[in-house]
Amino acid sequence: MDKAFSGADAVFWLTPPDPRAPSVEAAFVGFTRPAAEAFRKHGVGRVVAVSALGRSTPWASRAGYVTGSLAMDDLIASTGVAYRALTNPSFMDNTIRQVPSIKNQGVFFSPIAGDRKLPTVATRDIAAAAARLLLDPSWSGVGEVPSLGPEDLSFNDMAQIMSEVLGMQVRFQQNTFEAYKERFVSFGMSDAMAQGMTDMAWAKNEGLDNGVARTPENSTPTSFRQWTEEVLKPAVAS
Amino acid sequence: MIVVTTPTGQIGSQVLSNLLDRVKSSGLSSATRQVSRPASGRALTSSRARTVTRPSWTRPFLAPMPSSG
Repeated sequence: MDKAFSGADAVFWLTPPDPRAPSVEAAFVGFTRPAAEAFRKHGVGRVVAVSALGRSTPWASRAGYVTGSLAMDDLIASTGVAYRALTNPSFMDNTIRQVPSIKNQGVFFSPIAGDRKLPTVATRDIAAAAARLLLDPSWSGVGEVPSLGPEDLSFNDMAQIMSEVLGMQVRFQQNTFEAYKERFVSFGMSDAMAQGMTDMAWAKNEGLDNGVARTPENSTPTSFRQWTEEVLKPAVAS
Repeated sequence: MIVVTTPTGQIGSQVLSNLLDRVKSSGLSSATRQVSRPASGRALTSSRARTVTRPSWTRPFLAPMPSSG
């Protein structure tokens, strides 16, 4: 890592998943610490990282992966580097994981209530924001750049959009937080990381992602309908 | 030089594509570019004498963590 950042004007940082990490803090802060030291040592000019919505909300300290991500932001900011945290809600693209159940049973799942309206963003829009910041040498200091998608949607809204675009009935089914965690454990995730996923979903259900007021500047262009047409529909058809 | 971690990941790969597109659309001649060809990845170029590259140490990327709920 020390070698990678030598001479870097700007760095795009994303903490990769470590499903067997002993703790959420280890996965986010522990993994990022050597990078933060390298940013400082090599005088990296600017860092742009993928992070999450939720800072300054009542759930920020109990939100699993989001809590870890916010601590990562604090660590990077503490190095003195110019820093922008791309603060995101859940990704539209995560729906791809549920293609088998959508395709075969016409249903998708979450422990979040079906009528809870939340922002959701396409990863293509996050990437566009990152590239813009990486190529722009004019900013300094520390800040957050939220990307909220074009509108807040509930999972029931998404089911309706999927049904219309895919030409098949798709419904949303809320599952329990216990079942949600157990599923991750069954995939081999450590208990701590599975609990982190579950805590994040709980916090989103409470309102973690609704703390930033929508503005033209933080509304990103790709709609869930467009994403469903361009990404989900081909995946379901394949 | 711009370093992109997780360059083969869902977001990192799109960041690289965006950087390339923006550099191409800038209209600057190739003579102003520097090219780096790290052993682990394809070469990327950038205008204003910057290099877009990817470190070889990055781990395989599966999905973004912070907002994967």
